[in-house]
This record gives sequence, structure tokens and C-alpha cells, in this order.
Amino acid sequence: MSTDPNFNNFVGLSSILTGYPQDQLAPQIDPIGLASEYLTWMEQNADQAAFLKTLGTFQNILQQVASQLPPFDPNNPTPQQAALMNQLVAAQILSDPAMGHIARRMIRLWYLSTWYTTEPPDPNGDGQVVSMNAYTMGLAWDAAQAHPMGYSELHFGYWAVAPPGNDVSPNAFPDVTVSAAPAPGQADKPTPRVGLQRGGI
Amino acid sequence: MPEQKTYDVLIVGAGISGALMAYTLAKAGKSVLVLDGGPEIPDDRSPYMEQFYLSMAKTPEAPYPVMADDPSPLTLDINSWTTEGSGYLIQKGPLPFSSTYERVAGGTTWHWLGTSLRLLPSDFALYTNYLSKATPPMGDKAMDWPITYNELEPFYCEAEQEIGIAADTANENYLGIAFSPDYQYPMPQIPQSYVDQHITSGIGQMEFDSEPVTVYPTPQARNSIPYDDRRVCAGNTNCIPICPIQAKYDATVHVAKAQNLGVDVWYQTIATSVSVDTGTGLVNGVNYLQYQDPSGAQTGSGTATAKIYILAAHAIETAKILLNSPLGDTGKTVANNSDQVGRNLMDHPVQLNYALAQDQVYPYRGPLATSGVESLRDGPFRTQRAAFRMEMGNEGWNWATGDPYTTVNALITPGANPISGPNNTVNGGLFGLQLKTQINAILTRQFRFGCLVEQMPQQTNRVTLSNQFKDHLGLPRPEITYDLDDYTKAGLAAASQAARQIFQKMKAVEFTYVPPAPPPYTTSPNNLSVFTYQDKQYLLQGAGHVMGTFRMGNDPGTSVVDPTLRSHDHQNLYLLGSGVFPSVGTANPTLTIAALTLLAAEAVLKNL
Repeated sequence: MSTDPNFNNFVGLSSILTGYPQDQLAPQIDPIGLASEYLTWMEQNADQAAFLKTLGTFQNILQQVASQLPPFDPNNPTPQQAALMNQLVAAQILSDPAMGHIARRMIRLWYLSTWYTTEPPDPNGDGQVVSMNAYTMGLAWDAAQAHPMGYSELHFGYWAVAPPGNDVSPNAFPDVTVSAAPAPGQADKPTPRVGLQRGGI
Repeated sequence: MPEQKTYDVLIVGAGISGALMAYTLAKAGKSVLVLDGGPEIPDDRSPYMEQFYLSMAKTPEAPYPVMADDPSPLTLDINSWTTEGSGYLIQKGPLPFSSTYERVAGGTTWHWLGTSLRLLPSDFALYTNYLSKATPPMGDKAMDWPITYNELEPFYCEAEQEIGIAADTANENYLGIAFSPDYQYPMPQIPQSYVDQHITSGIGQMEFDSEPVTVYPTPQARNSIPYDDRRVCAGNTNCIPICPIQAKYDATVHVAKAQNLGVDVWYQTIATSVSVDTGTGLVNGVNYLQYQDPSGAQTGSGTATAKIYILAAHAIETAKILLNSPLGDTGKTVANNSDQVGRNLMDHPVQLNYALAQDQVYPYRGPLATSGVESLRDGPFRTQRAAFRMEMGNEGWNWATGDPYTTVNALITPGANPISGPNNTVNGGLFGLQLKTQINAILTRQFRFGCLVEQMPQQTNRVTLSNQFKDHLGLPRPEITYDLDDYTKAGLAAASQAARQIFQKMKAVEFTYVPPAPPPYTTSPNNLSVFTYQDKQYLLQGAGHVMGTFRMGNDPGTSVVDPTLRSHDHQNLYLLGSGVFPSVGTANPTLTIAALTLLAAEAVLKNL
């Protein structure tokens, strides 16, 4: 871990928000340094008061966990401690208007590599892909057991078989009970299209 | 500027037809000059990859230079097409023409998918086989091709070797497709994806409109073994907009081969018009403009000459050049005695239907498409409605909804509805492992059909020159009038039904969403492409297949070029590309473009 408390709090909070372990977001030996890049990005682009308050609140949450469920190692929490951290982050950060915005921007950075002009993103709104490294390390692709479109380290023919499992695979059908598909024209809720479609085949 | 020499052949456009023609002529010892409007082909594609990675909207054009002096239509132009002049094409409606093309060397093959199906034998006689038998009859004889499948077949074989197609003839001989004896594709077929296998077993035995629903592996212009000094496909799932490793063929391959044989290519040189000696009727020059800075002023101009002239600037730009070429003082334009230049503009309108499979099918992996339902491309129904092929996508809902971005963003936003549906209890506002789990549950089940529908040619669907709007160098911009007729719309409706029946059989849950139809154009830009057919709404999408603006035929009164792609009006002028298609069938056009180019090359060589 770094000696920079902001960095440690940023990575610790990122881990809770993304569901990915700290050592995957910020490995001990990290030639790419995406966590540092995102921290710098947040320091330069996010509302500074709200961002610092978010990191401070997370620091405070760690202290609450340490006092309620000792002994506590933030890098290696027990399941009960992890559950409590989730609960406190939801209650004290995500439910707060200003800090919730900051936290959700962090989730979008990690998963989608993108800083959107507004929070939440406008369905037809704009934004910025943070960097090439950010794009190729977006967690959405990993969560989908895929690879970033345009960046694969796999070999010819891999697509003919299922990918190796991960910690959420196999996974149940999402909780939708659509009895009949909406006929064209009958669906009433527009699908937001933040990603903007490809065209052409 | 290079010193002017004497050339046998002048070619306008370094896309697949221009580059393949230049290479074929140079192999036969001919001297060739190619003019291309775009910049020199970069030595490596990493700057294009960087631009792609950093693009918010990863459209087909995203990796490529945007040039004021050499403008192209953009996918996102469609979001404001009713505002005239907002995009490069001046769209007059009533529907937008949704396909785009690249004006760079290598052409639109930079971002083609690589699907390399042959047309069916019956596609060459749409009128005779079907439209003439409808009640009442539709169309006219000019919609039949002046050549047959069998006449084009040897050139298909040659084109498949030149491009490098991975497929197995044993799996592609359906609906009358026959191969020369002992012929085999140059590379083994590409493995079908896990998604394909799942859909295929879900379909099992079923019929649609009395035809079997059968999945075939797709012949593809991507390497399954090292071929032509290029690498094997690594499944980057990015054929459109750009293959990072050039495992997919693009026409820069033949630009380089042509240059190695001594072909001259003048980049940043935009052909503006063709000059004709009205005494002899022969073309005697191509006029051009040049620029240095892609957004700067014109820096040069001139007239290039040769014995034979070939326009290969794609369907809209070739028509534009011809319409911009006065024929002496006759008041007519070059090669247009038939008044067919610019008419019969066609696409393969695409019907997208998308769903979640019950089981995980793991999309976003492999080439963008490796299989399709090809068995519905022909049948007696073609007297009533358009045929279609069903492309099976390996990119989940990426095209359909902009995923993974759309779903993941909605899962993060409190109160959002990540996937549409009346009884949906998936809610936004997630974080942590719950977020990761829901992303996995949804994204790993996504699949879609993209059905390419045969569009009926119509005289009124046309390219003309805008009187009002000019590009940065002062050239008139193309004005497009475009609509779909009921025969084509019925094909789109049938395609949607076929997809729906497959979803039902598979117990997949469909999420196809169509915004409310205009007018008024108020709710979102997405509904500017919605049309209504028999009380249902459809979202029109383009396939990127721009076809039919200078059709071929035997009759000089109803067609622009003859069966060798030579102008009926001018003995030393040839027009290449999908603009010559009298009808479009349901095969992605590039392979047929290449085969026709090789057919025309034979005629050009005979006439030199």
C-alpha cells in the first residue's frame, strides 16, 4: 500500500464500489498504475470538496468497522466486516447527494473507462474516455467474461467455447419476467443510449 | 506533384474495386495511375487504434480522419438528418439513408465486416423469377442482371483467392449456389461462436414461411491460417470499426500490391469531373483538385489523362462525379443518356431484434459475426415480399443498444431501468459484487439478429447534386431522396417475425425496443429513423451497403453500363462498384464488387 492516505482510501473505496479486490485494482507491482491515474483524474475533474469529503467519510467508515468488529485489517476483512463496510458505504456515501455522485462517477470510471459530462449521464450526452489504458482495462468487459472490443489477448478459435468461470459464474437469469416481448411500438420506456450504436454489417 | 507520364489506365478511387483493378492491370504490364481523395495510408494502424479507443461513439468511422476537404457521411449525422446540411449528405427523406462510407485509400473495407457471401443464382433474375409473377406484376426487366451466376462464378473463385476467404464449399452450397469442379476456398472455415452454437441448437428443426430455418457458417475475409503475409484472426471483436491486426482483409492490401508493381497513387487528389470529346464520344480527361492540409484551402488542380478511364469512387461519389460532368454543350451529363445515373439507390435495410437467452451464451467474443440463417434468402415468397438473411451477432447488444455502456450505466444509476420490460425488477443503483453479478447475468445472455433485407430498386430513390450546399472545396454535396416501398417493408416485418419466432422457440426473452414514431420529432433523436408499416413501428438501420446508382444492363436506354461494366455512352469509360447492381439480393456486396471488378478487368485488358 501507498503511504498516501488519499490513495489508500481511494483504492479501498473503489474496491467496495466495484466488487473487485484491492490488489486487482492496484496491484503491488503495477506497471500501468490505473488507480493512480483515476485518483489524479478525480482530483483534477471532480468537485474537490465533495471528493475529499467522500474519501474522509470512507476513512471514518474504516474506523467504525474497526471499533465495531475488531480486530480489523482493511486489506483483508472478514465476511462480516465486508458486509458492514458495504452497508456503511451505502448509507453514508451512496445515499448522500454530493458523495453519491462522486461514488457513482468512480464506478463508471472503473467499469466503463469514461468520465461523463453529467452525473448521471445523459442518454445522448457526451463524455471522455480517460485513456487507452483505461479503455483496455474497463471492468465491464471482465464482468461479462469478455474482453474490450478491439483489445484481446486471446488466440484464434477461443470464441467457440465458453470462457473460464469467474466468481459470479455461472449466474442466474436476471430478475425479469417478461411474459411476451413488447411488440414494436408498444414499449413505452425509452432505452437510454449512452454508448451510441454501431451501424453497418 | 509527380511528373506527368502517359498512362494506359486512370482509376479514380483506391477502395477494393479500384485497388484490385489497378493490381490486376499492373500484373498484365499496364501502366496505371490511381487518384484518391484521402491521405496516404499510414505505415501502421496504431494511430487509428488510439483514436478508436478514445472515441466516445465507437461508430464505423471513429478511427479514421475527418477531413473538411474530403468529407464523408457519419453515422451520427442520422440523429439530425432532418436539419438540412447538418451532415455531409443532404437528406431529403422521407426516410434517411443511414449508411456511410469512407473516402480514404482502402475505402470502406477499412470497416467492413468481412462477410463474403455469393449472390444466389436466383438473385440475378429477380424480375423474371419473382416480380413478373406477382399479382399485379411489379418492376421491369431492367431489374434483372445482364449476367448470370454461372457467368460470374469463375470471378467469384478468383476474388475469393485474392481477398482470402475462410470457408468450406461443402457448407456453402445451398439455394443453388454451385462451385467450379474441385474448387475450394483458400482457407479453412472460421469456427462458429459459442453464441452461434447455442442459437443453432435452440432453433433445432423449424420453418418460417414454409422455408426451413437453417444456420450456416459464414464465409469470411479473415485469416483462419496465415495468408498473404497477414496474421490469423485473434477474435478482437472489432472487425467494425477496425481490425487491430489486419487479420481481416482490407483493400490497402491491394493498394500496396499495386504500388509494388509500379502503379502510381496520387493521394489528396479529388476527382471532380470527367471530360468528354463530344466529337468522338471518348473520355479525354479527369479533372481534379488537390489539398495539403485536410482542412485547408485547395492547393492544386489539373486534368489527368489515359487511354481508359475507370471510376471506382463508390456508389454515391461516382454518381456525384458523373452528375458534375457536363457533356459539352448538350445540357446532358457524362454517361447519362439513360437518365439512370444516381437512380435506384439501395441499401440492405437492417431489422435488429435482440434478446436474452435463458442460458449464458458469452457474447462480446470472437469476430463480430460467424454464422447466419441463410435459408430464408430465397423462396416463392419473393413474389410478395423481400427476402432477407439473418446475421447472428457475436457482440451482444452492442449495436442494438450501445452496450455494455447503456446497461452498465443504468445498473449504476439509482432509479434507472437497465433493461426494458413491463415486469422488470432489475433496478439501478447497484454497486460492488451485486453490480458485477447483474452485469454478468445480463451481458452474458445477450444476442441479436441483424436481418439484411433486399431493397427493391426505385427510380425515385436517387442521388442528385445539391444546388445549395457545397463542401469545403466548393464541390456540390450529394443530395439524397430515399424511401422504402411496401415490398421491402414487408420483408423487414417478416424478418422481425422470424427473429421473434426463433426467440420464442428458444424461450429467449426479447427486448427489441422501437421508439415512438414521428412526427413530432420531439422525444429523442433516436426516433428520426422510425417508420410505420401496417400499424407497427420499425427502426430503420443501414447495413453500410451503398448500391445501385449506375446500374448495369443490356439496354442502353435503361442502364448506365454494359455487362462488362463499360459505359454504354463512352467506349473508354468503366464504372466499378456496387453502383452497377441492378438489384441487390441478400449477400453483403463486397465479394460481388470484387468479382465484377475482375470480370471488368478482362474487358479492359482486351480493349487496351
